[in-house]
Amino acid sequence: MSRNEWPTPTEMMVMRILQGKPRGAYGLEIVAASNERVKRGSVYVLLGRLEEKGFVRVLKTRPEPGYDGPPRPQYQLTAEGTRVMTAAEAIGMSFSVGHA
Amino acid sequence: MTKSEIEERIQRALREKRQGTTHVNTPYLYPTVETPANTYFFPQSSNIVVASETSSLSKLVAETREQMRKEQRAAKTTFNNIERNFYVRDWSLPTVSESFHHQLSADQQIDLSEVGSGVHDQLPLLKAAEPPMSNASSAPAAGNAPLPPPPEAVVVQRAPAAQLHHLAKRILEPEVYQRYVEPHLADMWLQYNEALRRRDDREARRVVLRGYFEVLKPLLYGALRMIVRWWMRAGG
Repeated sequence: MSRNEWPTPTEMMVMRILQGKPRGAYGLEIVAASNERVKRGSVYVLLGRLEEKGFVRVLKTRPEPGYDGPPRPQYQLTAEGTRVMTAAEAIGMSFSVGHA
Repeated sequence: MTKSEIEERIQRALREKRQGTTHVNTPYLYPTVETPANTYFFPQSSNIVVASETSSLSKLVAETREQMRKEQRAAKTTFNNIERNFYVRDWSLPTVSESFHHQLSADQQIDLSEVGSGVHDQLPLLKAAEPPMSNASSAPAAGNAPLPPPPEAVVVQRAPAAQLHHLAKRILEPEVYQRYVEPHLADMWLQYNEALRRRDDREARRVVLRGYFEVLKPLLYGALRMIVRWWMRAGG
């Protein structure tokens, strides 16, 4: 898969949510922020694809106190992802989140 | 004693058990209690065998042995289930948390006395589950001799969807697994523990069930992606 591939509208929506969370967000937070338009079953597939394209990166954060389960990744927009978002806004692309 | 030390002990016990050097939950005979009615008590773990004076001793011994064998078999099955259901990585060890207070079913319990003495006293977070109801209180001819309490059963939290975890890990490449499946399991773990902390058993079961369905899609996606990659690598 090419790194320069343009993101799909759903991926754009995820990136838009991540743009509003500069310190990163968990998968479940993205699902909640999208008003369930991004399904829980597909959020990590989307994030994985965005990671492959280089628009999103996984943050290596310390687990919250009291949590001793599997590693829980946090996702953050990369500089390239931010540039894509800026370009999309410049050309007037709309990708609404929630009830548009 | 720290949590990691206890976990280390549990791991060691599991290792030893695999090597066949540790006996699993070997039942033992309590001292015979003589009562006015000449009734024999043979308590084993939580069960007490009551035999009237009409029973011959040899029959009693045979019955007791049979029960010991049954208990040993049951204990081994339980232990095997635990081994199969626990994760094998660091975070997957039996965890010591608030969910200890939660009453789990018998196959989710492990007797920590097998891994060393003094564990219960030294770990405030560990709370022994209520001991099973003893027949001693209901037996009419129990006499005055106090029976030793049954061994404490300490509840150890079991990781949710452990089977799914093992299946995904086995069939997927590590990268695919980490990227698509592990975050789902982490979410499931989080919500499962939250539900247990609230003592919402139904919600906990629902989380696991929902988790299975949610993981199906990334699991299939990951498997398909892996097959395509193999095919491309093979020059297809």
